[in-house]
Amino acid sequence: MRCADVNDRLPDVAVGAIPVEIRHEVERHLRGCAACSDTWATVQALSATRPTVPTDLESRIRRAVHAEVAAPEASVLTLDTRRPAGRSRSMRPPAWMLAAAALLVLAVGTPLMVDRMPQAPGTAEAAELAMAERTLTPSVWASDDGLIAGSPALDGLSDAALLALLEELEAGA
Amino acid sequence: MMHASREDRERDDALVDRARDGDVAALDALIRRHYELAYRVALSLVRDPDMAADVVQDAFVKAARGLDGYRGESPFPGWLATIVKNEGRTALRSAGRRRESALDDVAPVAASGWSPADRAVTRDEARRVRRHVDRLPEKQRLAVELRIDQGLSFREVGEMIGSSEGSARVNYHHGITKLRSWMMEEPA
Repeated sequence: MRCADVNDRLPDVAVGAIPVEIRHEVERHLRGCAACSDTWATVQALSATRPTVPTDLESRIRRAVHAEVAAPEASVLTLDTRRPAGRSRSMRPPAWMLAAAALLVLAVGTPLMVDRMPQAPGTAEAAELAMAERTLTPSVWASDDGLIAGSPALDGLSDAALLALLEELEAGA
Repeated sequence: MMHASREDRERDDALVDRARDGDVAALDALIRRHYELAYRVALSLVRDPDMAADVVQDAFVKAARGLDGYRGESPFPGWLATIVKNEGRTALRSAGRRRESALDDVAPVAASGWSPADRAVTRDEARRVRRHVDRLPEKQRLAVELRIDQGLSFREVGEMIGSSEGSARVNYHHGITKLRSWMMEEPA
């Protein structure tokens, strides 16, 4: 068994989720490989300190989600086009006055409003959710790979190139 | 542990369809199936248990509100993880800092697996290694913690971090190699 194969399996060994014959192979390898033994110690230390999930988290999430789905209107503003109650047609200003006011608003207000107009409620959230779908493709991942400058971007490499890189890392380990 | 088999994916997609139609029980099932993984993704990012719980709660609310945005092109846990990561980054920006890992809240558990030469993990080793994890870049940290803490396969880790299986494997390898090196530089 190669070092890369052993290292791939160490997390499963740590939690006992591995067939016994493979475990014996890993054991044999570790006895003769100092580098993998050190990696095993690291994996074991990590595995021994798995953070626990809060016991009330599931119910807490459920409550929050239920509250949200029970009152979806609260988070979505809608335009109310109904005329206010009690306002008669006779109280409305003359048509020419409305037209003049509309022109004035358009002429003066538009340039200001274009820059200041807030996004429609839900737009930013919809964009974020759409981004969630898009960012699942490697090409638009926003954060770095944690590699030093000049290193190849991992997601751009073929499986063969990734395998070669892994072997190179193993050789240098 | 997440098992992203085809059956699981079909089950998730069916639950999403029902949830879109207003089936609250389907929403509950989605929460039950994925809240633990979502929490580990959040914790890996924000490094604070309380903040991670808030992040996961907000992410599920946002996901429930935006289920129409899930088109099923990729597995539901990956879609959810992306929302969790976005919420986590927003929370970190709001907090204005990266908090130190609250290691006292990390309950040490005995490694249940086989240990060569009966090697015991000391409490000090356990604390140190988790501190070193904080130093890893985001993708490597996620790859290491999702592989070890959540027991995900590399393909599943790739789905969570938005990369290929091979890239997830290399990120994990980079991370674990750095951790090993740091642990050896700073002996107990």
